[in-house]
Amino acid sequence: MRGLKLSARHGLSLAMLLPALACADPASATVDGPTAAVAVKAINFLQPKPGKPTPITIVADSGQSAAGDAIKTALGADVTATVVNSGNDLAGAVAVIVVGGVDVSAKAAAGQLIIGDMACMEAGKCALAVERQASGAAKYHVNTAALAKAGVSFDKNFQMLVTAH
Amino acid sequence: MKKTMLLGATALLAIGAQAQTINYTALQDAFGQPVTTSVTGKPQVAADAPAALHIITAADIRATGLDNLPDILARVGGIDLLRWGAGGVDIGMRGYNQPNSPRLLVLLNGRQVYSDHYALVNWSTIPVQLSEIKQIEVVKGPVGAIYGFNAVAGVINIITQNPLYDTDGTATARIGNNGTREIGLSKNLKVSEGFGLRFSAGYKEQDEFSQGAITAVERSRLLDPESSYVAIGALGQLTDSIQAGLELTRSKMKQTDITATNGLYGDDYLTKSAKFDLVGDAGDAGLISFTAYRNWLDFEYFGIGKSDVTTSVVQLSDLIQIGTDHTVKISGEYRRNSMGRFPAPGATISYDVWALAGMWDWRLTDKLSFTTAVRSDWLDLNYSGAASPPYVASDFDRTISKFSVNSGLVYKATDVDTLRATYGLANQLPSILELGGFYLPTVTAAGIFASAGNPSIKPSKVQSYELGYDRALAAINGGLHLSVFRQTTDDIKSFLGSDRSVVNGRPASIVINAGDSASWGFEAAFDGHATNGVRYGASYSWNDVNDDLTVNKAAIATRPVKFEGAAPRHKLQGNMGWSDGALSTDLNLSWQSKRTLLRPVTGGYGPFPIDGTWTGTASIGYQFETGTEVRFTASDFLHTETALGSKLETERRVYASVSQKF
Repeated sequence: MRGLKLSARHGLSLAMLLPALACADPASATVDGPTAAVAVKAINFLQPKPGKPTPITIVADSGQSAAGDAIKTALGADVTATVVNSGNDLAGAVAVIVVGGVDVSAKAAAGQLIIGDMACMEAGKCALAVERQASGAAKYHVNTAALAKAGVSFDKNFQMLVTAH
Repeated sequence: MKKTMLLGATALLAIGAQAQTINYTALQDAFGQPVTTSVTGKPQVAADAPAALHIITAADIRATGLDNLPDILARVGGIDLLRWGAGGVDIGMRGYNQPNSPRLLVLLNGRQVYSDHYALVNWSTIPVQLSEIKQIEVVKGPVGAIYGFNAVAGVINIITQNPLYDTDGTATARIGNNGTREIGLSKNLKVSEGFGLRFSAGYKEQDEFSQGAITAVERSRLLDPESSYVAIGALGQLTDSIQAGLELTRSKMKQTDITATNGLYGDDYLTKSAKFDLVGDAGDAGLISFTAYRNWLDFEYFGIGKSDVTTSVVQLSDLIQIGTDHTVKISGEYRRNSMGRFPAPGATISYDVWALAGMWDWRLTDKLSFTTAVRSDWLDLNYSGAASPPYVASDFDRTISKFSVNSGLVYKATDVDTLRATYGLANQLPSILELGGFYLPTVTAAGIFASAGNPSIKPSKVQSYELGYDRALAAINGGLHLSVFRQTTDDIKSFLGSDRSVVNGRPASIVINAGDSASWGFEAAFDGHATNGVRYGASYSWNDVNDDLTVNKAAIATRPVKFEGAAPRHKLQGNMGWSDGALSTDLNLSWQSKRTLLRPVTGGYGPFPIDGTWTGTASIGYQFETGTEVRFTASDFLHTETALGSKLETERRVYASVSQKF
């Protein structure tokens, strides 16, 4: 169903006229800088609340390092980001942003929030994905099983606003 | 009871998650749109709410340059303003407005600020600075299943900044024509990571308007409006799972107001309130909220009498998320209202209300959600003290049980298109004066003749059927909002009239149910923001009210009740502003079609037609890097005087404001 919806969207010439619509296509592309900048706002609602600046690790395999650097640049001053490849240790990071098809679910430490694209979230390899909508609003998608498995919890007010999977 | 509460508190303490009141600022930043709890009691982004919702943001308020809440609210499509004087105002929603409008529930951070004696809102007593308001959530249509009695026309929930998340402070001084003088101060102070304080205070005085079709007697009653208030609050994280808040307020005002019988009087209000909140995260058992508050009101209508009302409210709710697609809220409420008989003292009338409510929000698919809420209220009326003949004590031995419903389907057809279908059933409880708290005996040759409330009067039943469509317009960074609705009201209440009823075999003038009314309505609004700092918007509202009254059949009306034609059938307004971050401007023009109100004449009430009229407000301000803002505002500037009610005409107001952030 979602695939059908996305295919249809690809065919919309309107997306070419309204560039904002292009970012409403969450599953077709890896996490980009603007999407990651929205996603890390979820960190403000983690329980317990982490200190600031919050350490973030961006995992990008070879060939994706430019994308990783772009994400790092896009993140605000509330976080300190490090770009690593999937072989690296993730210790110390409050959240991990995965670029492309990297799977860090097996090596993430307890309490680490794994952020990825919609495919990653739907597969349960990531706990959180963000869909930036054409209206300018953001929709947070949470894989509740992945979230529970990671031992991560959000403020209940935020939890009730996300789209749970 | 005490044991149950202790067990509940123990359960909360045992859970590790951190409980938080809603951080509106952070949530809006994250989701890219305002967040509300006013529609269902559950946090929702504005686009998902199953109701016609309009959120006035802090930026919107600041951009208007206006100095009072009613004028700001009047910019919302579907809201009608009746201005009786410089301070006295009634706000109506969707075609139903009247002197002492009792249909609107107004809350300040969840605490009711409408006064239970007449069930009216005295806007001058609301203890808040405009600069500390985070957002005003306007829910149009009945929301009885969430709020209980009286949320029949809609709900206005004023949310202030939270001292744990916002640390703003603003001092404001204002001076203008008509003797306008105002000072105000608000400050949120985050003492530590888990403890914050709020302080707010203000004083305002104006000269009363002087033009208008009022009698010499009414002119002798005019008072120059003067109001002041102070509010203090504290919010603290008691444990990781429990947050507690305390708020104390006091406000005092005197001004010219209209009464329910359309007479102009000077009045004096002293309000006090104490409120305690507790919110706890009980893990899988949900988010538990406990609120207890008491409102005290001492009021005097000069030349009529004085009395006092005490309102006590205790609310307990649990908001639980079940699985990925269901959220339920279970709530209980106890309310007690007690008032000294007015204007003839010597007795006390009171009622206790117990209520049980449930809300279920079901996400059927990614695009479709269904919400339904039901609430049952049980009221027990009590009376003690001197008798109110012709009523006898047993007349007050009355219970009222009412059921309220709100249901809504929200279909998000695309990322930018949302369709809503909603139904609401709410009950408008008679005010405590209408239930018998009003008692004015007159000695006649035939004995005592009473003008009185009526303990047998029935609540009005309001139903609404609505279809809505919202479209986000990314190209203009704004949105389009459409609503069409049908609203019916059964058993309209009417305050005292010139006709006579028979009570226990004796004639009396009493409050009665006076028939039904129904309306169709349509609202359209759009807004946009350009990258160059220009913002703009327009709204149009149409309503067609048809009364089916059992009274007022003759040329001279015997009862002060009339909704048909009483609100403008058409209202159109446009707004444009610009800001570069320092300099900001705002212009609002509004046109409303003719309306016909009632005014006292010999033998009853006669029509008072008011022509269609244009009004305009303009503001220009400059914010310095030091946080100082200088602003000039002209309100209702198109005419020297504008008739916005049947009494005093609204005068052009021009004022300068200086504010300093700290």
